[in-house]
Amino acid sequence: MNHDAPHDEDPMAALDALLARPEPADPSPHTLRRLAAGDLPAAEAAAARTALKEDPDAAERLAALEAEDAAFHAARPFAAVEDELRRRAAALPADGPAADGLFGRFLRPRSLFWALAAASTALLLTLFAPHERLSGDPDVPGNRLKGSITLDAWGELDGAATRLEPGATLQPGDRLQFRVTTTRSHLALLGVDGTGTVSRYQPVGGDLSTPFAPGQARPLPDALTLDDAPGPEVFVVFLSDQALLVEDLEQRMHDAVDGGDPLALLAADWDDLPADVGTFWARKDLDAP
Amino acid sequence: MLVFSLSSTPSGPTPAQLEALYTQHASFVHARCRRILKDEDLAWDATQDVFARAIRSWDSFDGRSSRGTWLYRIATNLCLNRIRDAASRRDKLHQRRDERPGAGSGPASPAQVEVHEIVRAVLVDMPEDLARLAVLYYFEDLTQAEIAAEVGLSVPTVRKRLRAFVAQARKRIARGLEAQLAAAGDSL
Repeated sequence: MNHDAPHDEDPMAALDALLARPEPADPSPHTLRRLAAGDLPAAEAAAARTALKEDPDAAERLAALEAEDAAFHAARPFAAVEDELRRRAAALPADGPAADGLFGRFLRPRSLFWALAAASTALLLTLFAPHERLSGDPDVPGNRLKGSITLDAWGELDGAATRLEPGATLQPGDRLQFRVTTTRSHLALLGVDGTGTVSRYQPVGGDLSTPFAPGQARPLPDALTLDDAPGPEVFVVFLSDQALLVEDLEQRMHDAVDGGDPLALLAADWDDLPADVGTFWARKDLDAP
Repeated sequence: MLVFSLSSTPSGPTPAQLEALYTQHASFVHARCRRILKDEDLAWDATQDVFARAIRSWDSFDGRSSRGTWLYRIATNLCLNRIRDAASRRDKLHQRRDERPGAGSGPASPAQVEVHEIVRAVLVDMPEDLARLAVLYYFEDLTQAEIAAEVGLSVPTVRKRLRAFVAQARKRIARGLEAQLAAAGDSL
């Protein structure tokens, strides 16, 4: 963390300085915690212990963790809490998920908004006027579709739902939601930004494209939030009958861009891929306040 | 002798398994909860709920991560939910100012406390995927590679989502500053 942030000048610059956290030195605090808990695989534990021999500060931090662990168990021994843990477990709802999933628990206004967006296109088109950030430029390259799908993109811009055209100009922090009409049952969503970085949005975890319920104007799971990477960003939706290996898709995206312009993806050849493919792209306005 | 269970009812951990899980991880789960919630009592309550959820879901653990990682993931999600619940009630979680980082993390500097306050404030209405990463990054001091391993994403994607979190935070704080300036203008 930058402790010398110029707080008195530009508040946004001060915020940026505060949030720009450097990577922790090795062994990281998390590694030390897992080491103290005995949760590290043997090879990683051995490497961490070797590193500790050369880092007295880290060794001290490990000792502090172990001392805190001992104090915790002295104050709250298992025998004293077991009944309460089991009582709480028994009181959980029958379908209570382990991960207490954030996605399932909160129907926040924003989630509700997107659910409504998926449910009633006509209503939304009536409620929300076209937005100035639509492209509208006939010279702008369009979305590209392969197969029998439709793909459209909606942005939540300044609090209003806006259907986006290819090449729409967005700002960092803007939210983007895709909807597809498809008969396919597996989904992957990847993107490439102006730095050539390939990002995986779906699946979240796992090596294979994620199961997806086919249908009309189906919203993809989770809206995306744009970051401040420069240049245009291209999103590619893959819909297939069989699960696809995401690494292969990422590699193909890398190859198509080849470290250069992400818009090269608009001309990529997906014909040999057993999937329907939809491509959408947007510009980014990094100078917006 | 092999014993086959004819019941499909989840069995949960045996007393010995639960004790081992608690002994190995409880203090670290508690420390994670305390860093996120910044309150000793709330953290202990959350810790017990984390273990309660682990008991209920014991049989659905898929073994793709360690039990510890699984437990920490439950803790992160549960604490994020508590932060959002607290924000909606404006309860004591948002009134407390004590900040204990936990042993092994070193003392919390004023800058760290400030970062935690900022992140907590914007977490309330932040998309879930970004909020989870921000907790691991700013409260838990995980490296980007460690975050990637814990949540099952690639490192470039983690990096990108953290940048998206900062972009969102900037927007929200800018909006807040504008609102404050407008309110100040109205009062003149």
